[in-house]
Amino acid sequence: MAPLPSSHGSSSASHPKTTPPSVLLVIIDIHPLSWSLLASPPPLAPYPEHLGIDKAQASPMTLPDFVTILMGFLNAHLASRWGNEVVVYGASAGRAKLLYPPPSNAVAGPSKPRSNTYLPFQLLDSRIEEGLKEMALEERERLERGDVKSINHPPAMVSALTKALCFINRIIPNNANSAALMDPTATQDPNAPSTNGPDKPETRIMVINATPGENVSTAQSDSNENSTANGNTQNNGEASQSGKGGQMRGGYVGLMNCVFAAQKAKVPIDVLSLPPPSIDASPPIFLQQAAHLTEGIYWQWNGRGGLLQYLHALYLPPPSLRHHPFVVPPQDAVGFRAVCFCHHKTLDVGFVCSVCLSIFCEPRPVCLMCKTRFPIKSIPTLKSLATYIEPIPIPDTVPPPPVQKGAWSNQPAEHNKKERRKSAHNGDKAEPIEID
Amino acid sequence: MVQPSFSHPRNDSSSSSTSPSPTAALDTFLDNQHQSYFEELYKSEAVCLCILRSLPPVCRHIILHHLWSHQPLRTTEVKSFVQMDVKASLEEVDEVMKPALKRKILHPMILKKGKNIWSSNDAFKRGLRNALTGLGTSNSFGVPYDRDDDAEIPSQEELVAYGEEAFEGILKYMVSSGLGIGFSVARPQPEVLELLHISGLMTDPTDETGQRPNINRMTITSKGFQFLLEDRQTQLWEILMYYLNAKEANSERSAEVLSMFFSLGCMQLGQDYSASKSFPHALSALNDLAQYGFIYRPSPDADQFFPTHLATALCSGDAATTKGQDVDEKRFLILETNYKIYAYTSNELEIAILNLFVDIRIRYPNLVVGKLDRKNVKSAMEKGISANQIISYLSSHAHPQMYNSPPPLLHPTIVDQLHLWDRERNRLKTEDTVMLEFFSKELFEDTVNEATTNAALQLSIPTQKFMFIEPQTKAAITDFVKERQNQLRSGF
Amino acid sequence: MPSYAPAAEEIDDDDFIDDDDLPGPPSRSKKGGASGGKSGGKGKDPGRHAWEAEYKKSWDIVQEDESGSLESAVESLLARGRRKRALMADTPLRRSIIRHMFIIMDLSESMMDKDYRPTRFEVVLGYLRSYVVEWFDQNPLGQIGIIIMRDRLSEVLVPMGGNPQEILSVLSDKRRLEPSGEPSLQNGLVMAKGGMSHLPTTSSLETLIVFSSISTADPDGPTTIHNVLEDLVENKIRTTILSLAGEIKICRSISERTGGKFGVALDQDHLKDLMWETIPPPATTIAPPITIGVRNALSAAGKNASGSGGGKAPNGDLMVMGFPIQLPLGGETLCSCHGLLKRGGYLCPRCGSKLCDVPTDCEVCGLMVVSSPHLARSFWFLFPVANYGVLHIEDVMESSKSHTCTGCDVEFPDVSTIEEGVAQVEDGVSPTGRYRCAKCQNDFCADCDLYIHDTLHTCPGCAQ
Repeated sequence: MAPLPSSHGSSSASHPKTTPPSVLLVIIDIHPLSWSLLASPPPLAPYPEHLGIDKAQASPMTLPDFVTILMGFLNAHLASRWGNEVVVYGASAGRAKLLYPPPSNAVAGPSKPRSNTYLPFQLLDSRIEEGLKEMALEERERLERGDVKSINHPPAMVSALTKALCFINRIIPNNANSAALMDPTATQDPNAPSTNGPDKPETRIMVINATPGENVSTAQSDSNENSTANGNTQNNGEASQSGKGGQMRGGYVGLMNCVFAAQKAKVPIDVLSLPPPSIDASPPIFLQQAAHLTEGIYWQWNGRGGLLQYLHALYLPPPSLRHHPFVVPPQDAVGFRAVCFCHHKTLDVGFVCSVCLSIFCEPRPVCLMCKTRFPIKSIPTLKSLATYIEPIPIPDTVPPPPVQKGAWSNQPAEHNKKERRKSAHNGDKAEPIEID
Repeated sequence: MVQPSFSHPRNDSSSSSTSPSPTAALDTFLDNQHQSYFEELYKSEAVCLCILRSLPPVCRHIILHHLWSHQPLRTTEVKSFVQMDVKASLEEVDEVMKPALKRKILHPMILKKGKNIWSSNDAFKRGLRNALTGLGTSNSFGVPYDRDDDAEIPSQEELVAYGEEAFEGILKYMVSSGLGIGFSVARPQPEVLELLHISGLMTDPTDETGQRPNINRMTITSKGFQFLLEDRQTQLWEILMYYLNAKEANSERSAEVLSMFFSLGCMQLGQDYSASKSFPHALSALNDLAQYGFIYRPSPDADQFFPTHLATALCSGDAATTKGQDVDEKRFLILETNYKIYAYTSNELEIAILNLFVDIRIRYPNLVVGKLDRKNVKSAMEKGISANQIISYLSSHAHPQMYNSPPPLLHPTIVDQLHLWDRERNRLKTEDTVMLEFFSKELFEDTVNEATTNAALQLSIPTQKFMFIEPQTKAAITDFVKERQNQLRSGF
Repeated sequence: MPSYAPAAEEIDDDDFIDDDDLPGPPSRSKKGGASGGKSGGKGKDPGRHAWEAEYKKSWDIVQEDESGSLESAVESLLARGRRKRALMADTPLRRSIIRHMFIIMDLSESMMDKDYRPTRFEVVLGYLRSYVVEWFDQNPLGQIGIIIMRDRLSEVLVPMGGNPQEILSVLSDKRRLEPSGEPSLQNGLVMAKGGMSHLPTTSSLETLIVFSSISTADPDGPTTIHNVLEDLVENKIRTTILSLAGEIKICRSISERTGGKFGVALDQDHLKDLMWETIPPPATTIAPPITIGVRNALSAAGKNASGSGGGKAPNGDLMVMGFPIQLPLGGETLCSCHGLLKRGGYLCPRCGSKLCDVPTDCEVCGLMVVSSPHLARSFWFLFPVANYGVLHIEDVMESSKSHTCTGCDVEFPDVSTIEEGVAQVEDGVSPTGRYRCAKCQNDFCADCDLYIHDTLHTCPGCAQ
């Protein structure tokens, strides 16, 4: 890929002649609770400034409908170049599973190719359908077993992401390191043609989020919390401590680790968030961060149909064409908030241990992670500082991103406000870790 | 030292590995077709899919972007897609979409209600939408053959082997006819030989008129040698286009046959299809293709047929032809800067092709070691093979190991040397001439002047008083010389 | 007038046979060649010097399998090399996250030696470029400066800073870096010490010396290199010296006394390994685990840290940090730090003023504004993924939970086809090709094991 300088008025001569084959890894959130919400959305709040659009009604979106649309999109991806491939993961409550391609030993395939469908399309479509049904069945079994609690787990996005990254690592093994080993004198020129072979595929991950709110990644830790707190005695020394920590913070830390790994592998993470603003106002900020940090595309559906066009228009171009000659659609403001290690709250302002950089939502005498002692004297000062933290809304002078083709969501300002209030005022949860 | 005068050897070499598209033959054919022909073609979903993929990426994505929209495509939209200046001229925007216009996917730009728009070809749009959703009705992806479940079907490997054998048999026949080295090659079917003759790849040297060749005594032409060096996909499309031009030139079935080629390209290796249901109108063409190894039929008149990898790989786009071992087998050459070539192959055809321009020194069971030298390269060039063709052959067959060294793939020394040898061949040219020798200096000079004014002089050597003139002016010049001689004599 | 201090003890040339020139079929992958070379060199007993160890021929290790093919041998060598890296000790909890490092590069004439191809100079420069990128990737809050030693002088090539691009652009200018003359270790160290004197000793101060020469030409005078060494120890500057030539007494004692590492590179790969070993943040063993604050370290100004209640905390500090909102590249607004109209920027979460870049202190309310991903970079130290255990054939037989790797969904080799005799459990290579996470009891393939521990730092199974 050659990101040529985009001079204005450049003719088509500078357009790339070919693109490398592209592998698209899709992660579908198929959490049953989220989809039941999506299937019966509350009525849309009318946009005062876009009167014309009010005619479009809030369209409910069921999983089968969406899968049909998604298949159209995936087929278009396969159609756009020979050698393009699709990998699909399903993320349900607390579990993630590879849906496509099927494992090689289970190639039953459709009994017969249909005469009007390109066979790869047919294989993909039928296998995804099968996989989704399987997962739904498992989910039902889980409910019937009386494991009702587990259905409340958030979708296992992090697990799906790690799987996707491992997959990418397998098909394109860690090229950066080995290339440096091969040729120490090679310059770090990103424009230099890759020497790894004639046709190295490019990859991208697309996350389709259906779960409203920011609990996509963080709420998970809450659910794990109890089990670990019961299972381990608190002062078991460092090993159990760190082990417990890893599981507890699996959500936020795991997601961030995935983002860094993706950054390193130069894999963009595209995020499509389905819950329209009417269901939940707050965007999934950590997925948004992920898209932002990996130069992926983040977009929130407005709940008014037209998904197929949007998918084609926003997500179809491969990474090598995205910045030149095409343009990435304008992105919303990104909140770089973090999650605290003690109560898993989303923070605007937090307390950070100067030794290990752990984040806490309130001042404490000893770091939970590295056991560093903090000066007790300063705690009142810090506390007072913390109480002064009154969130300030984003001023109205910030222009909303240009609205393209219908309504782009222009409500982040409002959402952030709400969220921050929420985070500032729920500090009364039990502390999971005892301080010695 | 000869100064190489070729324009940009580096550019040549880098572009030669990518620029000639494997479907060049197809592209030129399609470029010359009319709207109605495309309307006919786009009835098949497979064609829509393949044509879409043959477009350059930018154009392709704009078409896909626009696929589900009800509005015609506006120029302003395209400008904003590709970050063009709003004030960019219409020609510039048109240039972006040119490939689509050429394939009649979009109708030419018109001005409507103050906006410049391209309206899209409904047949194509419908075809592509149907291809993606599987809602078509034309059976263009092939109707599976209704066979018994326990019927034995050939494995994919067997099909590949079959196709490979059939097609390489033809190529081997061509090579052996030119080299006079014998492999035991079965002679291809008469129809195949006829096509090879019509296409000019082979000719009968004893046949003066070129009208009634004895197909059993044909030898390869320089065009044929060039053909051998092409990569497989290019060869296939060239053959298909020769076939289409020869057989179906004036027939209305041309579009149907062509769309059958695309359908074959979208079929699955290892799956059997029903010939009569899939291609009811192109059965004879399908039969002909069997001779080249595109399809395999268990028995000659069976309705059941299996496409081989030759057919299924027809449409697999740019450089990445078929996946897996097939590609690796094609990448066997290591070329060192000292002109040594190591070819990890035991394929007789490849060795024979290498033998065209490489001095083969050592042959092991899976390795051939040879050297590019002047004598062999020049003899290849005499057969009509150009330096660029050798270079593109070398780079398309380069071993993956060669990609590990910094680019360019082929060392410039070798590329330059090949170009130099090519030039060398063109340094001398032969012309018929008549030499005149003079004793009188005056007469010589006068004649030279006369010949120069009449553009008859080829060369004059004043010291020895030789001059060379065009043969056809001999009479006139000798007349002039005689006359002048008389004048000079009478002058004294 | 400099006095020549022949500091090298003994150098045995036999030890540096170039392992890269192994005869091998040209079709063999380069990877295989590289690992063969590497394993040849590492026959080092801790108690003995490198040259006293029996010389191991690298080709002795490689053994043909039954069919006479080297493939399996090469494969297992590769796997073993990978395992070695994956089996690195569990990361200690406490690590220096705020690091300051001077890279001291020897640019003496000896750098033009051609024992590394094309020259030592080119190789070291190439490695340094990728090293800097990797270093900043893992230490986003750290700073690097570069000092060069040539003509018995030392010169700060790049002052301490946190911008990898700047360093890379200097490093890519080869004409400025022409090697010449002799190096002066003393001058280089003094310069590094001076360059770090204003920094708080609470952050990790380090130097990395790539030393190519076998002697150092130090200034004549009352201070000798031994005095400098005492200063270094006192200032807790951890000095790691990588020698390209041989073991040198003074270098070894400097690095040992200051708590750094000393290494002699056997070949290019080994040099890279040695360099890369210094990238993960060091465990805070010599510097007491106290830091005044990121703010101080970041601004390097050393003023009082706001909100931390005085800088003399004995055991580290809590700092108040704000996580900003990044604005889209919409219209232009005034920024609070420069008072200029700019597009994009960050909003301070407390006062809402617009800042151009983070990390920084808010100009209006003084809150330290950092981007949370910057902090999150180091979280993998806090939540390391436990090493995966190897699975023996019996284990797999008992609990064949799944046939595919939990990470990449590749299929494991069929257990029944694995022969008991061939599979040897050595260097932690699993005979079944499976590695099991002790926590979630999921199996992984070797590639994923390595990737998860090296790069991803999150176990796909445990994240479920």
